[in-house]
Amino acid sequence: MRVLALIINRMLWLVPTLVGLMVITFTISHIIPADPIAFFAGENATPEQIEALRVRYGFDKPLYIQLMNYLIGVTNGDLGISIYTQRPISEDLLSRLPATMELTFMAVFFSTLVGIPLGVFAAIYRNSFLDHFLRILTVSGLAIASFWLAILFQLLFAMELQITPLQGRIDGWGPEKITGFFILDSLLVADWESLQSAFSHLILPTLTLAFPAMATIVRFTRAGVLDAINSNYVLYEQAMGLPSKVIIWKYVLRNALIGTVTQIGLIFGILIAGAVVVEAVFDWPGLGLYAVEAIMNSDYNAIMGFTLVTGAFFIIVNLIVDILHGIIDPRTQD
Amino acid sequence: MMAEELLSIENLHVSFSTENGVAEVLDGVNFSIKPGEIVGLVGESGCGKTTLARSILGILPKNSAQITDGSIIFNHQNILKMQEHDIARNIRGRLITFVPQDPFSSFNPVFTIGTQIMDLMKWKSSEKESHGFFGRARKSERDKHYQKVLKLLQTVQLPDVEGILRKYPHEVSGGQRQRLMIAMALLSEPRLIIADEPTTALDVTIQAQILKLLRQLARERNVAVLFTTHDLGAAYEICDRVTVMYAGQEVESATVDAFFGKPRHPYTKSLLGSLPSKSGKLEGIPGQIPALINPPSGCRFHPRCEAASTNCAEERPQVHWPSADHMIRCYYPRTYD
Amino acid sequence: MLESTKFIISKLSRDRTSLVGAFLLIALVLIAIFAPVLAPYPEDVTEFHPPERLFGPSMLHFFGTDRMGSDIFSRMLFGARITIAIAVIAVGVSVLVGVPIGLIAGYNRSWISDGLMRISDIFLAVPQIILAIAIAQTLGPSIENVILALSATYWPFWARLVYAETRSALTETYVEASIALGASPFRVMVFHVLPNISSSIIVRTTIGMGGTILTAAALGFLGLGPPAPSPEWGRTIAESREFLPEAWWYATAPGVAIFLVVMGFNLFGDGLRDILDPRTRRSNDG
Repeated sequence: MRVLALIINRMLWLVPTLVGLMVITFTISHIIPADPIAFFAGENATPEQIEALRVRYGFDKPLYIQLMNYLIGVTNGDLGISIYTQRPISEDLLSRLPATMELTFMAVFFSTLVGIPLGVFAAIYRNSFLDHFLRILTVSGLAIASFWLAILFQLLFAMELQITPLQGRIDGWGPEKITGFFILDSLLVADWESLQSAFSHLILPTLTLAFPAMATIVRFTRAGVLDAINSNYVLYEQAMGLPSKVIIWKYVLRNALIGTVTQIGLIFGILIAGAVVVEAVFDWPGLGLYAVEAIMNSDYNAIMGFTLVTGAFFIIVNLIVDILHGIIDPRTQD
Repeated sequence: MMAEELLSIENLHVSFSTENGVAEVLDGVNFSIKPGEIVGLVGESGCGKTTLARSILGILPKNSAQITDGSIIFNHQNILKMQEHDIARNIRGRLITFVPQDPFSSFNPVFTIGTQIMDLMKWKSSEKESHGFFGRARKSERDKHYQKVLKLLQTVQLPDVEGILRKYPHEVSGGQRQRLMIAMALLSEPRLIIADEPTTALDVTIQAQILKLLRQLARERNVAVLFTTHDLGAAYEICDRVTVMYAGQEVESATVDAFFGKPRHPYTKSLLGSLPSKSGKLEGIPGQIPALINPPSGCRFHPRCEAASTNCAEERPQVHWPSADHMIRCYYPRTYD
Repeated sequence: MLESTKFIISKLSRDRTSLVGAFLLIALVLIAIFAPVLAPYPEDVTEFHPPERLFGPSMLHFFGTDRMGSDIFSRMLFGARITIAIAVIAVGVSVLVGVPIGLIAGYNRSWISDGLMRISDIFLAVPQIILAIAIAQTLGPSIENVILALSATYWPFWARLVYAETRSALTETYVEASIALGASPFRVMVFHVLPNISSSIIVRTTIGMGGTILTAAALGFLGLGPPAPSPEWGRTIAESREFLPEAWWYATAPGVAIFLVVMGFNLFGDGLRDILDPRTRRSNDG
């Protein structure tokens, strides 16, 4: 009941947030440029051509009608046509989605798998060499520009040592398309060559993207574990002689993870922000690279579409985190 | 010491390193409990009673506290010389259990009460079993454990015991939580329960019930209880014997009757005098509790003691037995009536 | 006020991490101020020397030369000015917009309050860089537009913080008392609430600087920052990519510069937070 009420409450909040996000992208794309159509048509357009475009794109109508049309269009999945690719933006984004999701998923997987145990060890052995080393690593992770880290990785592993591919998502055509996720598809059709290639291409982008996320996870896990270790219930569990492996990996970890889970939204923010520049450096054909290409080509309808889709994705991730938090922390009241 | 003691602490020294220097929190403490005896450890906050309790359980903070001297003999074995591994397996949570001061924060907030009790049962049950890494017990064992837990919860007078096991700690009341803590302390059929101010955090109306329950269960099962408190009234109600501590030193130990009837140590006298009496006159103790970083020499009470003389500051008085069940450490004991 | 400043300085000077942070920040400011004096080739910010293009590091060019033959070291020093300008102005505008909004929303308990907070929640619901990209792209690449884009996306952080802090400050007895004595809302907000919450704002601002600089550098890297031949650090890294791996020095200097500056703000901010805002103290000493 408690969880159901929480889900309904958050769902109700989702709608106005999404509408608000649409209003913001609409405002940016329709109001800020002095004359969006002139911008659109290019420098050599005649006044007649501009007027024709104005009517065609509905810019002759009052602003609130334009907003309504925009909202109705977006609700129906119509994000407009890309000037550059001449295809519907929604289709473009959809075809790029699996690449970004594969990369993001790998980064989440890697940063959690490594970050949580490291955070626990840093807390257990606080002020040890390991703890100091991890502190330097996490402080660096939050201060390094991911596009620079990406270039450093390329320089070292791809150019100097030549043990990983420089960029791209795969050599050759890739596995037969089923889901669009190369790792999954090559497993499904047993295409081992593609699997190996897809995997080796994933290594550097994943590491780059995962580094700041991992730093955040280590930091929060460490703080959470330390808080728990100093609590009365751990003192009680110790006094009652429960084995320390049970105390740490069962009782302390669950408490610490509640704090870390609330940061997953933050981590996804880091990953989405990182994906834009990391995909640009590694020529990774995902949403981020699409956005960068759109920037290069002044394709700003496409950029608004990208903003809206990633924004909506981020909002939904936060919604899920909220609900997850409500489920794993019994103290959350409805 | 006499062979019949269950627990006997001799000349225990514990110091804490702090930012401002080393604090000698326990300064050569002697203390003992006989099997089945309920002993109150009484003193003001900061007198070292919690440190003494934690020394016995071996849960002093590792990076700041240090046991510098003395012995803790439990069941004919010096705990301080035992392997940590053996203490964890056979003593802590098995033969010696713990009832914490604050039942609110001593439950893990994100696990159900049932999970926490069943885990204790799994690891600390008096019937020995071998377990894997996380101790997956067989189903028949779990059922046996579960039945035992249910029975125990009924003996501590909890209603709807199966319902309580499914609840989270924040969903039950403070009094019920402390009853649960007492039940958990009895799970492993221990010889000694260390109850560290078990009623301080509770409502006054509930305190008496909990104390009565603790005493009754300890008596029925012949379990000894070390009961720390700053509440002399509570000590009077449930204890067989009372030991008083002042600033890390024990000063007097006597049966409840002798203690409340014929206190001998000047500090005990003033402690009893600071209780509101029928005459309505409330006497305070002049001076302040000393800092433990550079404590007064000799008997640490001497700067505040009306009976003190020069030798009190020079050397701490030796243990002195005016009668078989009455111990004091004072050069100038009083004979009060 | 003077006493508490002294107290904070003496505390900070005993914390090694804060000292490192402070050192990095002071170095940054000095470099930005004295760039024309320190730079061996100050004219290289705008001048090109194609024959000297892509020289490696040497005593003449500490960090080598770029694709136009300009001295990278000199350009990095001037780049510090751009970074400071962007970070200080963008964060300053965010504070100036966010703090009053948070104060008003926190003090006022009507639909205005709800409305303001819902708006900032929507901004916070999207990663900052995404909105900043959208705005900077529409406005066109320039320093002013980067600042505008960052301010437009970062103000809600301060609004949210000040809102929450104001709500809790209003329950303080002395604030309640001054309201009961009939002090005007403006007076209560400016003279009672604001001083009470200023330390949280200072901490948030210091830590916010690091994030803002990273976002600004990313915008520069994506070509949305000040246009060529600006010595902006992010842009320089983007330029260097087509000359790798031969010109390995090209991206090194700007990358290290960004890293050190952000590190400086983060370390100093962590130290400040430990002193001013013990509630959120990082659990270091546990």
